[in-house]
Amino acid sequence: MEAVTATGLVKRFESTTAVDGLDLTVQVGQVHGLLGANGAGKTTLLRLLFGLIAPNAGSITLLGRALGGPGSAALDHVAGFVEEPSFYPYLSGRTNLALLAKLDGDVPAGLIGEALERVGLTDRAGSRVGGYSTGMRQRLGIAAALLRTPRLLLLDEPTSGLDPTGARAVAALVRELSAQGVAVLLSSHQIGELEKVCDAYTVIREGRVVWDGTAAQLVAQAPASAYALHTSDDDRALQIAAGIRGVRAGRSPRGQLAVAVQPDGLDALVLALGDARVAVRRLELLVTPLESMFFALSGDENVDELAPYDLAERVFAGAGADS
Amino acid sequence: MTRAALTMALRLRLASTGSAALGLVAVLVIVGALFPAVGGTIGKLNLPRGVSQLLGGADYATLTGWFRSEIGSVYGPLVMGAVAITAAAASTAGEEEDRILALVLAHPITRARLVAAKAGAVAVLVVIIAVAAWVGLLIGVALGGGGIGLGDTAAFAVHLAFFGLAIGAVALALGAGTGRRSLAAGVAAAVGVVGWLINGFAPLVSALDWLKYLSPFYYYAGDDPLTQGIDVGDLAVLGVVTVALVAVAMLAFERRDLRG
Repeated sequence: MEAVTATGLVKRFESTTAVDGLDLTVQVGQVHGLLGANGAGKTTLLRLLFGLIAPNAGSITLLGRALGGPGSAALDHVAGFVEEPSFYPYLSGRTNLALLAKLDGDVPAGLIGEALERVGLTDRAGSRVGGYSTGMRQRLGIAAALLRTPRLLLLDEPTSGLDPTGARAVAALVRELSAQGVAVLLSSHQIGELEKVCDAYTVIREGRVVWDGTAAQLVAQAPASAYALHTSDDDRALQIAAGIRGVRAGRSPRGQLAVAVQPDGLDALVLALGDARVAVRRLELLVTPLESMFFALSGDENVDELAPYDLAERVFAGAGADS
Repeated sequence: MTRAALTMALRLRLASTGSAALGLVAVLVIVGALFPAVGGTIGKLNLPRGVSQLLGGADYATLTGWFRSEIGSVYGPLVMGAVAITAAAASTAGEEEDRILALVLAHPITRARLVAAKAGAVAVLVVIIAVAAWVGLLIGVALGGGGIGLGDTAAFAVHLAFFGLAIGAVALALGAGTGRRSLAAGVAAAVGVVGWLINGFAPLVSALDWLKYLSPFYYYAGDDPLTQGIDVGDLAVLGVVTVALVAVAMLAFERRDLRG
């Protein structure tokens, strides 16, 4: 069953078309990553799914029910937030959640405390939200979503502003909810975070879907990943790599060896180095399949023609951009 | 859900409105207590007609004139307008600008019901200020030597409440329709100030006399509720304007794209 079905969505803002004939399907129990560069249309798509803005064309079905116009009520069991969640700054986190919970009717006693505990905010629950850091507001936003016992979670950059521990905790929570049958649509520019949790991806560029599929399909179709290679004889390794089909090898400006290669090509390279008695001392993944795919789909250059370190540098530059 | 949204909106503004209400009571009590000492010495000021009209007749010789000038013409509507406008603009456009509405609307409440709840909260706050004005007036009148009937003090409070509802509805409609807090508050305040000036000066020029009918002040104080009691016609005009503007707010809020 589909948790989200968006068909032919179009959203225009004056002369700009932010979403242009976009189709999206998210399966129940699936964690679906939404990827795209700055201005690709990810946040606009989430605002459409929340009913905050109305599409110029197309239809949206959430949990099997059609989303009405902007004046209609939000759907039960659909929760989450768009951009950084905001609260009443002069009230405490707990009071904010209590006020929001009342909008859903009777909330079981203890649920607010439980939600705060799940996001690690119990100690600061009595403090005014105005004094919260960005990461704490993110976590409070997730707690507010959990209060609604969601079956569909729509999260826009949920790890933005979180430290690595907080980001890992959110990733674990997302996986836990997914295991319980909750569908999660996750927008993020932190590709590494998405890779840890997503079962499927949709990549958007200029309001259109440019790639859509499962994580396994992505790995199979992604351009070559890039690796830093440390060997006992880099010059010899470079010569060997040049002779293997599908392997591109080169040196970084600092002289470090790097290869861009598909997984089967990597196997061939390592075996060939072993046969030539060149020891592989360390093999570091510089660019993951998702990163290279994202870069290939959101950039203008041909990833397959880039030198490995150039590929890594471009991917890192793209991943660092705020989307 | 509407009740929960109403409670939520009230909770957020109850403290500030309570403070304003207590301040209004205190001022009315002080003004009433001052009358025996200074009222007779000031008497009726000889001011140009328009200015006199702006100050509720500027007749400080009687307790009724004293209260009409000191409270009824400026201070009362100023406090009422500030509370109503601030609450209405903040609860719609303010929450949209602060991106709080997005989280609220992720709950099963329609936008129309949310606006209705916000309007209801503004109405409750307006009633709190009106009751405070009535209580303060009763105490002030007693300290000032009496002479204004219970019904007339109540009539003043009711007219003040309807003025607050109408001016608050202007801010609500603008806030809901545009999502811009400063625009909603600014235009509503301008409606109040310009209305006050028009009510004072328009009658001085016969060709412009009709403009006074566009001023909320004309319906609030035109027939002097402190001496004439409730004017049902005037209240009906303010009431209809309020209901119409709330309806506009609901429709506008339902149909437009929200930020946040």
